[in-house]
Amino acid sequence: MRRVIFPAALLLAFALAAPAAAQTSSARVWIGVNGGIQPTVNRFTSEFDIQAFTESGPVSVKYPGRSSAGLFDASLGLRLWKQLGVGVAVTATSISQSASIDAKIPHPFFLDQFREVTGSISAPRSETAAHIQVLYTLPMPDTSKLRVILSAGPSVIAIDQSLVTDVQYAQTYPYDTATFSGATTQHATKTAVGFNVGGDAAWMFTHAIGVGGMVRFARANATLNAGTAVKNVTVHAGGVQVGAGLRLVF
Amino acid sequence: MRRVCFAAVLLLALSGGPSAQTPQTLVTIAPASLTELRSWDVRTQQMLRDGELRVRDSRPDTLIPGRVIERSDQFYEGVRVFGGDIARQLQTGVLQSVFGRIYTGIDVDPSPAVAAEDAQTTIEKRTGVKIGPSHAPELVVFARPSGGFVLAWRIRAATRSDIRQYFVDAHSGAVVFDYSTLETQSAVGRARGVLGDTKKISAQSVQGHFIAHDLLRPPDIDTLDMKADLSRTLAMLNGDIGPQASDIASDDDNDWTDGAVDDAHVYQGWTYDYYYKRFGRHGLDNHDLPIVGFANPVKRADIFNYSDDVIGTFFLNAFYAGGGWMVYGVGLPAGLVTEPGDQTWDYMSGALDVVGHELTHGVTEYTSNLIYLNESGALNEAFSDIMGTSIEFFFQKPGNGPEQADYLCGEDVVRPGGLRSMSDPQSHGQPDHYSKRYLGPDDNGGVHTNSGIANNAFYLAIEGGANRTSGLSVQGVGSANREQIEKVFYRAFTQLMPSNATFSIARATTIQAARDLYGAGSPAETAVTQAWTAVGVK
Repeated sequence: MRRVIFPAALLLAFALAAPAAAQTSSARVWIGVNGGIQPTVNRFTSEFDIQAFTESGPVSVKYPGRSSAGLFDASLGLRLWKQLGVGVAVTATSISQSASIDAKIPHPFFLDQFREVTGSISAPRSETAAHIQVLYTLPMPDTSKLRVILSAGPSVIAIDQSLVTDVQYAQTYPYDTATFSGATTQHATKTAVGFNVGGDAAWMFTHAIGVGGMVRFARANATLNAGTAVKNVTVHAGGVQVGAGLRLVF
Repeated sequence: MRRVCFAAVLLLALSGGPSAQTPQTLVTIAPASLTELRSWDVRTQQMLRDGELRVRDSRPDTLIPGRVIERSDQFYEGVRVFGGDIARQLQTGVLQSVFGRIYTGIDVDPSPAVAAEDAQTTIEKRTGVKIGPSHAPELVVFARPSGGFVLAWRIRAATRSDIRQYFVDAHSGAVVFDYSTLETQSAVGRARGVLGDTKKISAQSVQGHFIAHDLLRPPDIDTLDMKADLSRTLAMLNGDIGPQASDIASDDDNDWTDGAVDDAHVYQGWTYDYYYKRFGRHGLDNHDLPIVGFANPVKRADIFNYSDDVIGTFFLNAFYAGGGWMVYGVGLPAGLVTEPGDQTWDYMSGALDVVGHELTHGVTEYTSNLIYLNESGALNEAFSDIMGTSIEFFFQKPGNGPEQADYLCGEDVVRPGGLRSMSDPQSHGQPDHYSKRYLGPDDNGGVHTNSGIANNAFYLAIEGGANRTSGLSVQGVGSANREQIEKVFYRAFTQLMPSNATFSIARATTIQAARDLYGAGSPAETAVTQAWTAVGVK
């Protein structure tokens, strides 16, 4: 689904630009500020063992990776030669998610007898990315209020993921069951290098001010480490980013 | 803000003494400036001169040459104030630092109305231990956690499981506060049993090592390592001395390797678990009576130094000594066997059904209290076999191998064949039918012999089949429903049966229990009725 959306957005951008005659833009600097969303689901699972009563019990934590929070995007572009230019965009997104925990807690009295404990805890994630871009501005007539820019380049994405590193539980004699009472989380941070491709379409009200929308796909993979307890886990960062906002051209 | 409070307290302290209404104040001495340090230098020196502080200890600083560390206790009217003390660091007599906490606002009559001996007696009665002269009570001023001060006798008492400080009001004689000074923590470790198997053991971490004291179950469950001190064991069993903390089996790393101790401790816990989970019972007396097991009362290698009586009691036996105490025999040295059957004997605590058997005598003691003589004595023994076997089936998989559940008694440690068979009592010299019961005087009227009759009834009620003597068949409830028959026998033997019960009463009470629990005409009632009939009990 993601692969379908992205080309469609690009095609839309091209289609909007197609009626215009080819012409070099006179603008040299573009600034965009967007609010938006990053709807991509970057789910992952982490695993570790909990040590209790001389045994190890496996703990599996599922992070849904579903973004419900917004995306902030700011971009700066500079035309260097004809339709080509360079730019940089910075995005910041926050993912509020509840990690679901499935733990098997060893029994205090008996070997190989585990108590199932399940629960959930907030495990937010934030991503801050810098997208270095080569820009191509579609040729448009001077009279056109539409301005379309295609972009691609490397991305550097910094991930701050809250990872569950321990599970607390309550138990009473005879200890045949245990109930989830909480979990310990630890921030795991990692900066990863990936790529981005996208497009930006703007409708200029004046020579310098307009509104626009952008679609971008950015991707990087990072291996998170939260200390010795939690096994390293590789996560996807980024995804489809959609936003709209103010455009300034100089 | 801290300085303001500090100054206020200092002014209070210097203002000529508290009045009777002055509230309890604990002043923290931690000067944050040279000025404050000088102030406290003056103040503490004055207190030392006035006797409000007394130097307890003064010795050279081992880390900084030339320095002296001086510790002083706070006193009130010649009585030490518990918890009030300071530590001063001096360089050629000049104060370098001072830290401490002292109380102000003390207003107590320093003359005790209660004698030290009386306060000590109070604590001895409370703890059940005798406190020696080296731990004589100390008169102190004690700051109550709830406020105010009290003149109190401070008494330290070490029990089997704790070391506590008690404060006895020196005017009223009441215990006003107590706390544990033992650094303890529940600690589950690994243990190797008599048969070499690995299991978990619930121990207690005490100041760097581990003792066989179960903190995870409701009652105190202790296992003593008697270290082959039979005299001490007998002295305890006779009440001459009480178990001390040093008697509790210990291990340095919580990886226990003395199988006799390990299995005794673990299986005592499992037995408690069985009674709790199956019947909701809280231990032997249903009020979490402490359980104490005695392991290693003698040493196998010393067997030839003992009489036959000792061998029969402390080598080839395990027994319930009353009051929640169990003693586990050590078996025979390698190469020795008993006749008939050329049976070897391992540590008795290595068999779960043996431990369950002995603890069940405790349950009987606190319930029907079946008289250990003739038929009631045989029922007493049978109930212990029945529960011991039921505990096996509760925790172990059915089978004929080591640590597997079957209807043999003690088969894991008395090999081959065990001590008794519930499915075929005759194979071990027991009657399986009332008509064959032993009527002589030996063994209290054959309590370990005639138990085979009730044992076989229990077996038949579960598994079904025919009694070997009568040939009568029983429609058992099936092993999947064994819980029903266990509950029937438990109810009958602990709640319905009188102390001088006969086999006939055992039949009647178990049938009644089956009706109570599962209804008249239920498979359980039918099985129990047929079983007693099959073994000739009417």
